[in-house]
Amino acid sequence: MKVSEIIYEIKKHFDVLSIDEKNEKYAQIEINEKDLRNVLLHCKHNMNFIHLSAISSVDYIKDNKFSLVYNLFSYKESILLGIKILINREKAEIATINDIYHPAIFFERDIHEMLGINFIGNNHLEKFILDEWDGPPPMRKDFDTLEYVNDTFDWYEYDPEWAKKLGIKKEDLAGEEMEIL
Amino acid sequence: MSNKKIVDQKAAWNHVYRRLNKRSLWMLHYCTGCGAVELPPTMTSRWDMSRFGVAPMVTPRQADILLITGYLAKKSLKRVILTYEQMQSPKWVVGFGSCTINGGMYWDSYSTIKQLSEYIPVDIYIAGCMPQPEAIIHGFNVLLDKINNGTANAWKDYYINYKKYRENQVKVLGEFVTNTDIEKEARYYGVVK
Repeated sequence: MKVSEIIYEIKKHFDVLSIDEKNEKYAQIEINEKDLRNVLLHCKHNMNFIHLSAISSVDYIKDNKFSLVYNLFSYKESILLGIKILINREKAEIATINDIYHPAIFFERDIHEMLGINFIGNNHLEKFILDEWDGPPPMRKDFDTLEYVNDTFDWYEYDPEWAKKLGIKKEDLAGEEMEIL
Repeated sequence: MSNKKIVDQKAAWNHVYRRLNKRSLWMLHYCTGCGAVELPPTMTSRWDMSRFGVAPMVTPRQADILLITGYLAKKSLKRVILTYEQMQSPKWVVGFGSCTINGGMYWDSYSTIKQLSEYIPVDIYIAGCMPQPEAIIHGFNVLLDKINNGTANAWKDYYINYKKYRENQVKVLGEFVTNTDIEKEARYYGVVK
């Protein structure tokens, strides 16, 4: 089975909004949010995509959307298939798929922590990697890391006279560093 | 025996003690950052760190030097503090790479701490991103000289100004419990009466 045949198979049953065939082993298709569960079930049971490699998510703040890409892998065909949906950024929530692919528990927990998307039905959305973190989800584009850093941490002041104060001689330095004296 | 002579004798013994101490240092390396890749050539035959009496150690309670290689996230900072407090005094901290000085290339990251010396006392910094084995060996030689002179006393600063350090730690990490009784330890080492 080739990538194009797989996409054709999905197209027979569901609406496919866009197709991006990267190469003969990898393609990404965009579908409607409401079809997601059925497409995943179809891929798993009828087309041997038994492995969920990852769920990736991007914040498209200008379009007011989050994208979610479910990357499925088939060991039989050695093909990676990305299934992409766009969800609303204001009401960022979607049903969990961990009953279809069990490892989704951890991917969803990670995305929940980093982007604040709520996965309805996933009971394991506690803190994952950011143990010491109590701010907003840090990977959202409207979270200004620089402002947060300036508020939270202090910096060493750069002293242009540092080499003089340490008593460094000109002959000890090389190249561009000589100009600091 | 006059009183002055006793004082001199004590100073002389301290001198001998420091001379011996600087030739036998066990180093605990906390390798969360990418700079740790420079350590294997420093330790092994190419640059051979053990020429200077510095050798790696696996547990904090038996180590003299805590080497922080590279950036510390908030999460790893807590582990570093717990590790540091478990070490027995006298102990020395070496900040390694520009990440420990000012955040390095992660300067605008939300979770990377900027100045290591705000949270634990640092004896020397080795600048560079990342420092090469020559720089590391030079840094250790500076530290050995400081130990020999009796000026590497940052560990005393932790006992004396513990309130300040604790304040900075709590500001970033929130309230957390360490199992070391710092005040008791400070009296034990004679730093605070």
